[in-house]
Amino acid sequence: MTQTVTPVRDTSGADVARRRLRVLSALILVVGLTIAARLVWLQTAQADTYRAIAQQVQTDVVAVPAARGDIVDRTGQILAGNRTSYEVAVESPVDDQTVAALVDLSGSSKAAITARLSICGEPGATPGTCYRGEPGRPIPVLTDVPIPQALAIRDADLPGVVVRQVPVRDYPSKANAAHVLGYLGDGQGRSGLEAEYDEALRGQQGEAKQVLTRDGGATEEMVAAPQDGQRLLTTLDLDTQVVAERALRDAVDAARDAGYRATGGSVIVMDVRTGAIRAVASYPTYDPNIWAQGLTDAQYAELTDESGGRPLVFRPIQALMPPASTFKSLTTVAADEAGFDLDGTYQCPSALVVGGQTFRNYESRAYGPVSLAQALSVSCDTVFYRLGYQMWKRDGGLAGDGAAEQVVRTAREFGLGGTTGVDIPGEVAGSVPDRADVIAEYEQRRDDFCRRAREGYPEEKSPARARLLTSYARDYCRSGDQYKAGDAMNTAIGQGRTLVTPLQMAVAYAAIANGGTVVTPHVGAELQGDTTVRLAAPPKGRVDADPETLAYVRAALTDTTVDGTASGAFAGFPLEEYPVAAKTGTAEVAGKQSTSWFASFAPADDPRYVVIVNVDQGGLGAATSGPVARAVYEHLLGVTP
Amino acid sequence: MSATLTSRRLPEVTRRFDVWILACAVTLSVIGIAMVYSTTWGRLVRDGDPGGYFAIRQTLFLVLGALAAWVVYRLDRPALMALAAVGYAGSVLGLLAVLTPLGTTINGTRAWLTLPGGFTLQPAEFAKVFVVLLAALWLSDRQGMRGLNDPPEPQAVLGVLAATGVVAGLLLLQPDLGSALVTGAAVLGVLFVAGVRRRLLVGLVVAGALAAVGAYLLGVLDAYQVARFTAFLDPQADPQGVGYNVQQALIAIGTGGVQGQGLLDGVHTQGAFVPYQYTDFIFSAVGEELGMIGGLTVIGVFVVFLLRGAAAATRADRFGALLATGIVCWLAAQGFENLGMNLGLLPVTGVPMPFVSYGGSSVIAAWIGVGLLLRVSRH
Repeated sequence: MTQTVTPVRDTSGADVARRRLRVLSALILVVGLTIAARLVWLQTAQADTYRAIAQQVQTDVVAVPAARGDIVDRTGQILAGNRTSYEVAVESPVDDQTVAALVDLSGSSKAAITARLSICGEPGATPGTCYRGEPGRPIPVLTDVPIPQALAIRDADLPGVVVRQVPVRDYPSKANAAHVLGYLGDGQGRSGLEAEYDEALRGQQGEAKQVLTRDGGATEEMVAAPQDGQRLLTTLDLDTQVVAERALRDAVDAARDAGYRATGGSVIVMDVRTGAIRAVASYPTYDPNIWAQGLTDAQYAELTDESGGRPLVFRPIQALMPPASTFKSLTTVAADEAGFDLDGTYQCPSALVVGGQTFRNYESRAYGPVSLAQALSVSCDTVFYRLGYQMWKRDGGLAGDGAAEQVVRTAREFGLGGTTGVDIPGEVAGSVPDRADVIAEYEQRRDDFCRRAREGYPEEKSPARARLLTSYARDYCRSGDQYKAGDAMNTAIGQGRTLVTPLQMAVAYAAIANGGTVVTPHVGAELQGDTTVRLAAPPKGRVDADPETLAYVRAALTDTTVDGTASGAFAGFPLEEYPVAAKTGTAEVAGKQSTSWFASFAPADDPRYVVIVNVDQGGLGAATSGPVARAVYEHLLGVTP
Repeated sequence: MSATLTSRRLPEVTRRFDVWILACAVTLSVIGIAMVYSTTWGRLVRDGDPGGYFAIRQTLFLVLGALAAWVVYRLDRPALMALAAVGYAGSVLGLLAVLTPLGTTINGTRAWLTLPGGFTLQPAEFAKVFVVLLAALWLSDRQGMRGLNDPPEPQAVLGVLAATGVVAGLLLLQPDLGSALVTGAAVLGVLFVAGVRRRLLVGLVVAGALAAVGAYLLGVLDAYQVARFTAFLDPQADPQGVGYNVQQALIAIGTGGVQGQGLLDGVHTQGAFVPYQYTDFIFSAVGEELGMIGGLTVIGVFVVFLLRGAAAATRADRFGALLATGIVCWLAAQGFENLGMNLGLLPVTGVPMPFVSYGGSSVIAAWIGVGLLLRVSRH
């Protein structure tokens, strides 16, 4: 009990414990010196290397965004502007816990977030939503997040998650104008005016160097100041645009009520003297705000879906269709050029038989002897069939030398068969084929049709249809290179092979209205920034037609709304005060309901605006499209002196 | 009661404790508080909290640690035996508890118990000191009669290995490979000085290595722990992952130079580039802000502390020698591993720098070690 401690035996050299403690002490000393040596080496020999790395790590060059320019109507009202939105971005790779927390806080689905996290080009990436930005940067997974959710996510302080403010396109006006304005993708204009004037609208992104400071903050030094984008002043008139959009929608609804499919349509309101577009609408359309959040695959599929009318298509410049009777105004000009008497009398029988083929009037109506002007306003097909036939014969008939016919030449002069040069990307050209084109096409298609002539159409279910197709193939194989009378006659009434866009018809009717100037349609007027640049859209040229001929056509078309095909649509409209010149059209498209056309301008005595309306599978021109034009004119009458 | 007898027969016992040991521990602790402040105030202030929050807590831990040191310094052998038994049992229970839902997972390791008042307890830190204490008690004899050079009783060796194995196993389950290795190294040191044959020691090291390989193959270790080792072998392999931590620490230390950038003035430290810079990677902040002068001071003071501890062991009786050896080996293994990983010399295992790193359990446990060392140094 008292002997608690034994005295230490000191046997020096033989003392195992002491020897081993000395070994331990030596070991401690050696390790300590090794660590000290490493520290000294790092802080002397390696110091410069690490200072260089540190400078690189502690310095960050960041982009300073430039504000995208507004797109405004001609009175300065904003059509496309900017608003601040919140975006949630994460540093990749991100752990499941963080994703789960984001799902919880945002109400978004896990699939939606992970789809945005995939990197485009890597295996398994989700097309459409995958990340295509700079590598190594936080990837935006939630865009346009409502403020309360954005704040909640920020306060949650999730690792690797940043909440930042980003500008997104905003459409504060009552107009839709989705197609003409266009949309952005990854901050770049991808369609419409946004694409056409992208460089000016986008401005110049600035650059700043962030260097960390000793207090843990950072100094930001602007290396290059951002230059905000320019404002695009357009020729559009917000109120007119709203009226045109609403009227088109109403017309489509009415046509559908009347049993038509009315799959799409367009309205163009254009200044006949300058080609300045005041309003341009395309149906069906879509909500431009959907691009702000990043499009899902389903949304994109909907935008390009055939059965939904492909809302992404900008019909005024991208839909091709036969011009139908609206083309007769040009046939009239061509007939005058070809020497036919504008003041003569022409027979309007119910049908015309040429080469054993019968060409009928609409509903086989007959008007007897009429003037050309009357033939235009009542839209007598047989008069124009005959003109087409006679011009074809004059050109040599089947043995013609291949030079372009007068009708084709006139149509091309008026701007058909080519692009108009409008300042909106994606315009299609259309075609007004002449003999040479017919032959060229035949060269291409002959083998195919001749094979069909031999082998028939065994895959066709209906034997009658198979027989018809085979006989057509046989005809084409034998004589498809011939420009037949029927071709010329169909061309004369705007059927057959001629295909136009609504905007081309606007240009052609503007030329009739303004006395022969082929204008360049345009929407951009000025780019306004430090300096203002007027966007010139010089006319493409003049037509050869005699101004008096054009005046003759204008007078004839003025009657259309008074006692011609459009008199019903314009009943009660103050035509004395504001005469409207118009031509209706009902285009036949194989296998589809007819396309409704309405080409017009007003006031007829001193034309200011051309208004072109068409509705696909919408029935008669006057009945379906006429009211749209009328609604636009009522609005214009209210606002123009 | 026996004090007069003992002091008469053994005049060494009345000697004062070794002031160097205390001075070194205080120095490291003060540097630690300063560095904890430097590495945490910025973030705290940005979040609207008082900038001294962590530094004040660390000071509080130091005070608690000093109190604990004073208590163990005053305990006689029977009381120490009781403390060893209670402390070891408590540690094992604590290590079991962290594996239950009572435990909190931080940085992938389930090592913390939550206490009221915003404090947490890390049983692993205390387990180390009690394992060492237990080993020293068992390998000297029950009465303390065994001579310094007498070989240890085989059943005592077995008991020590069993007690160590239980703790190391529980640590690996968290998983906390670093603490398991440190505990093993400390006990190995005790066995070494206790005179265990070399063949057995080599066998233990080999068994430990095999256990580690086995743990890896059985999947006990988490992917991140394996990654730490592969990152050590090739730091460039994953610069954004584990290698990032070491790379940032090296940048901080490298830019410190001879003079250092000054306390609170290290750009890399204040920019919080180094993860865990107030706990496991606090030496990177020392290196950047206090430079080579500060870094060598920390290393030098730490080495002097260890050598004075070893010297105290040489002068002590068998129990004292083994206890001091255990504490020195424990703190040496932990401290050198920590410095080594900060300097890119050793793989990252996530053990704190004794006295310097922020953490209540770590600080108090180290100071219990100081109290015991001071007690031994009186002989």
